Amino acid sequence: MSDLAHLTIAEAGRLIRARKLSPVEFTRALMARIAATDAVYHAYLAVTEELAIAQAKAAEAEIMRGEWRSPMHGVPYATKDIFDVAGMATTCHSKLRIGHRAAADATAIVKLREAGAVLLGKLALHEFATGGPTRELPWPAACNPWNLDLHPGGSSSGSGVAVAIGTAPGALGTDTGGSVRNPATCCGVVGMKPTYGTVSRAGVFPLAFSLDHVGPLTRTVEDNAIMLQVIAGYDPADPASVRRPPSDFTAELSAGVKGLRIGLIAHFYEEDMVAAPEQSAAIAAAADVLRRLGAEVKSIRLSSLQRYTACGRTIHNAEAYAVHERDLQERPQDYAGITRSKLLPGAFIPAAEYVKAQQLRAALCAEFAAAMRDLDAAITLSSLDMPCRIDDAETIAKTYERQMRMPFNVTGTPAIAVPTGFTAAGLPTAMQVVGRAFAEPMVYRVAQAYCEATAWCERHPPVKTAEREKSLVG
Amino acid sequence: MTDKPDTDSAAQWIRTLAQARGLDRAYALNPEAMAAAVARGTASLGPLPADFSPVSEPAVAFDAAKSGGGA
Repeated sequence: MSDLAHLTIAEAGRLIRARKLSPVEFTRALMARIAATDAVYHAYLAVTEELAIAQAKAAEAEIMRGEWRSPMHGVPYATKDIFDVAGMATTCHSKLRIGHRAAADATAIVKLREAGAVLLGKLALHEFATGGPTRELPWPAACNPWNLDLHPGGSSSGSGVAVAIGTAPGALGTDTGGSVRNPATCCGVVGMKPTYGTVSRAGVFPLAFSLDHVGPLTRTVEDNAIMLQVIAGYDPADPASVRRPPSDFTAELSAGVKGLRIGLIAHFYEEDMVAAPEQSAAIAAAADVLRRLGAEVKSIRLSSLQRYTACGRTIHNAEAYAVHERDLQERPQDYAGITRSKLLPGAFIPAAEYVKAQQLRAALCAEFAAAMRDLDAAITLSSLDMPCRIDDAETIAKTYERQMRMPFNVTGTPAIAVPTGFTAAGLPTAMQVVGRAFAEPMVYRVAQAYCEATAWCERHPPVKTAEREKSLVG
Repeated sequence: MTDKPDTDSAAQWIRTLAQARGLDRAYALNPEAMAAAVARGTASLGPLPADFSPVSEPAVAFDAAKSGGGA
């Protein structure tokens, strides 16, 4: 096993720039770790070993010539297999996509390549970013790094697992109703859904176009800000891309929270629905930490969680069905049953109901903006429940209704999931820090202050190894 | 007359809806899942805010910048 496994992006970037760490050695160490662990965790669908070594060698040569590109120059990462990488299949973890070959890289992959980052491979997900763990799929589901019998969260399941077990220091995910923040929550890592339109979705297989966001999963808040900086920016290839220069996401990381006004959206998990005691105790303790650090934390009220969720679900189901209609008509047997069950309701949503949901969405956006007017940020839970067994499809389905991530897909505003501790059973708990549109620097500032004060991000799962059982293709 | 639901008619209605959507094959794979999909898809949004207006502008082309943007 490698000592390099838990090196952060920030640390690695600094060491590489100072020529104290070879990108090639770093990449080879992570490749060895993937080979040793992946038969246990199933985080990777494909390892791009040849490409990774070539990119690492190129980065090393450039660094030696003094040509430094970015804080991710020579730093490895992996991507959810929903992003196009030229010449490879974008499988979306689905039988329907076997044989696909992407003609070009997704914009986020291009940006990482141009920043000098090294692609390790493509990661497991819930089928088409909406299904769930099931044996019906052509590849196994990723397992929770803290307990292999449990659900790792989804849909960016492999991204959360790879980052947690140290087979990638950072990973790309997508988030339509919480799919970056859910695996971050279940795996004990940091996951950011930035403002809608901040990161291009060009070359990313869509789920629901008006809710889809691209975001990074990392082990630290600083790493997350670094990775978002690399992938953010206007892209004419994405109609939703925002034509404004990205903020400096690391600028306020060390500013602390003294004097900040932070809202606590407690009615979501105390009144609208009731959270598991471990989750609610952890966020109460987190609010106390922020108060001790000098922030003013006060309760705020929004519409009910159910109203936000119903709005998001109607939009999500209608838009996702439109993407999949033809395949559901012509080859439904090629989807896993759990995926069909999530996609088919969209066939029966009246058009007026979709329009009404988008009208409601505008009202909810205005409500959230008004609530945040006098606040710097807000916090709420991410999941109401602890991860359930990975083979308990019924309970997993219920967890997708019992979460507080969809409200921020509806509003399109930034939301980051950070660990808030561990239960007696050794499972991570988490909260979200949320902010106004384009207030990522403030969201990162609050998250960083909290994580620095608590050090939950520094805890890593004990990693199991096994002989490789499956053939990983590049 | 009876108050018992006409399950045959309900099943036929689900099948007709599925056929109308071109989902005959998906129906054949799992009629119960199709019934659940119809129930979910036709479920109401639920109670709307008191000040909700049916003539308000929908957020069809969603734009975060117009939704209280500004860091």
